Amino acid sequence: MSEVMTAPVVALVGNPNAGKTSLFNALTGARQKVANYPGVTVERKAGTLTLPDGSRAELIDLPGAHSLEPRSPDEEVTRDVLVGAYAHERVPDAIIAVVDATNLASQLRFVLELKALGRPMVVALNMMDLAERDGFFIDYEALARELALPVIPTVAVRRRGLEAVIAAARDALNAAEISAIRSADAPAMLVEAIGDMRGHQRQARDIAAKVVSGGDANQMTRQIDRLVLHPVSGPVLLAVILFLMFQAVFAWATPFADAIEGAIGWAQGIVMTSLPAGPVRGFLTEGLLGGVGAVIVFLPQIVILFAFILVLEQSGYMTRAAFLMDRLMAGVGLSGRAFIPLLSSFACAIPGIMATRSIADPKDRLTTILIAPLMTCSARLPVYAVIIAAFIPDRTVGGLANMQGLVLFGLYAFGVVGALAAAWVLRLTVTKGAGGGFLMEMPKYQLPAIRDLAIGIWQRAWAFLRRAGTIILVSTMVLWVFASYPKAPDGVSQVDYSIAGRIGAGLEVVFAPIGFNKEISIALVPGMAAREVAVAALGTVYAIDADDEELLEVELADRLRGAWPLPTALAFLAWFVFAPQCISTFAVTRRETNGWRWPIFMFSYLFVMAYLGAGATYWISKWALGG
Amino acid sequence: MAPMRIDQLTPGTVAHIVAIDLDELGERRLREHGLDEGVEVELLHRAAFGADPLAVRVGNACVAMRRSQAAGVTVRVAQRLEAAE
Ligand SMILES: Nc1nc2c(ncn2[C@@H]2O[C@H](COP(=O)(O)OP(=O)(O)OP(=O)(O)O)[C@@H](O)[C@H]2O)c(=O)[nH]1
Ligand SMILES: [Mg+2]
Repeated sequence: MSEVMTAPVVALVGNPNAGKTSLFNALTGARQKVANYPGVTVERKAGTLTLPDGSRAELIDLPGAHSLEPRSPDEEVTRDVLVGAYAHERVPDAIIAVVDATNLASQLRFVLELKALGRPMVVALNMMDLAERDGFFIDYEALARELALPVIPTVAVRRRGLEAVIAAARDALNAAEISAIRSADAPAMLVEAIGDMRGHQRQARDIAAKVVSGGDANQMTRQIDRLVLHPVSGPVLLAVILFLMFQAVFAWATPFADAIEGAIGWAQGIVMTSLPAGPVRGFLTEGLLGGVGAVIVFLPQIVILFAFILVLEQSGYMTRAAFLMDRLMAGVGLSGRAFIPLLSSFACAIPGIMATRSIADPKDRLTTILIAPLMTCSARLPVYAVIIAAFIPDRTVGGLANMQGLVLFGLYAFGVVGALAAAWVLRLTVTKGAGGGFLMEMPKYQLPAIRDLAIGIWQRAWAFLRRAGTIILVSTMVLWVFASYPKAPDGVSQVDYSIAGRIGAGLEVVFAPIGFNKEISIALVPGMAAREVAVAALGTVYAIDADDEELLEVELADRLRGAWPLPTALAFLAWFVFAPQCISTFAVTRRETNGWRWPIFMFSYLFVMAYLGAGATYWISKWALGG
Repeated sequence: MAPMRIDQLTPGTVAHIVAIDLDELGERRLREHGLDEGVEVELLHRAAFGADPLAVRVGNACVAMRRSQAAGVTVRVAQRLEAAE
């Protein structure tokens, strides 16, 4: 049988935030996302575990769960994998139950439930460093006796206890080979396992009382929470943190962005002087450097934004923000739980939509998915930044805030308000129903691990550059070709004469009423592939019509300032607050909602909001400016 | 002293759970977060607007919950319980 040849499967299971993914990364060398809030992992992830004898096992990281009775789609993944109901997956041969050592009395209940599945099992008693710091003494030999399972103390983030875990896993796999339990028994075992919750609770607390002595709930966390969760200082602090984040994105990035811009200009100069005029030079300077370069300039801002979000995620503040926001979210029919996916949508809506799997109530979840694209993702940053740089003066207002940062903050706030308003309407119409509750454990604060932070930033920066080098480059290339051919006769604008120009002229009919010109209409189409492409496209379109000298000396922002009236610029910003984009967002929405219905709905309602929002902005500002 | 509910506790007062009365699903979810008869709880914080949600220490963990959920949990303030035993 082929089964003999395949590697055995070991699964990491445990309460949310117990450190499963940290352990998974340490054991397999993977770089899955680790953060200090429950519900980080929402999919099954696999890696390779090398056993002491050199043979291999497949190690599986699973979403955190409280029990085998799923409350949310992510917990369902865990249950399904464990009972063999997950498509194309074998039932794990052994389980590593990961437990937070500082909260044994509560978490051992799930261990007992897992044990009732009858699979060979090892207990990783994780976060031992925190248990020691808080003065807990845990007699693990006694714990192992009480559970009749091997118990290994670990500190996943410092790689302590890894060899012992591997050795115990190997022993469990050896036991699995001789054990008679077949996966066919799994459903029956499952019913038994989840049946006796109270009994498991009592037993767990009895065991904890026997094996744990001393210790005190974390005092530092209590002290910090006095400030962070305080009814007055809490919301103020949250507002200050978010405000600082957007100020920093503008203020700190400038020197780096200037340097990148300088380098691009320098490269354009070299190409200009060393190549003869023609399609190759045109493509390099207008398409590649003018287009993709216009996007890469935003790398520093994106890195700063991500660094802020990562620190919030890793410190443990995220769940506090959810606590502070719960009341407001309840007002529009959601819960604080939805705030976490929405905040990560500031980075990108796709992981944000994935993260909604940890929301228990299906209607809460669907609503959160539908409004996630309204949170300003980092791909919109270049678009905002270019327009702001062109049309908003770089001034200090009120002595401390930067005017450009303020406008950026305003756009983000506009998106958030739009999202809340949309949620409110959706909850009264298409996703009508009683709201789910709000129940969430708030973890201890931790200093962000420099390594995780660095990996997180690097992965994001790299993903951004890769996008610039692939999807953005390709779309820009295609656009450049469409905008450069057929060649215009002398005296006629090349862009107007080109294929793209003619398509743009057609689209302009739709977009002229909201103040958009032909160049914008052209840029919106490739913007569907990735929002930044809109900037690259504008860069390309305007570069094609510029003469060589202009190309070298005038930045995109300055060119736009000359070409667009202010109301058009403001309407363009408003459009991007709501714009239905990008294609990947619709694809992930289709997957997470199992069909085309919701992505199509999402596109339509966002289009209407964007069109009305941009139109209103255009006409109101035109009127206000006396035009 | 008469039993109270978690949402009626003054912040900083330690109490023990004596009963959980919610619908079946609500009760199970609370139990999954460590609430159980006899477990020590303490109200830590009430949120700013409308005093909802609440941050409650449950054993060694800190759990955020809505007031409606907390109102299903009957508790007895610590010293009294010890005195009674
Ligand atoms: N001090 C300490 N922190 C740890 C340890 N293991 C994990 N952490 C931290 O605990 C937090 C949660 O870790 P994760 O590995 O994401 O936890 P998880 O169990 O995968 O969480 P979910 O995917 O949400 O279920 C992170 O902030 C980690 O840095 C440990 O042994 N000691
Ligand atoms: Mg995880």
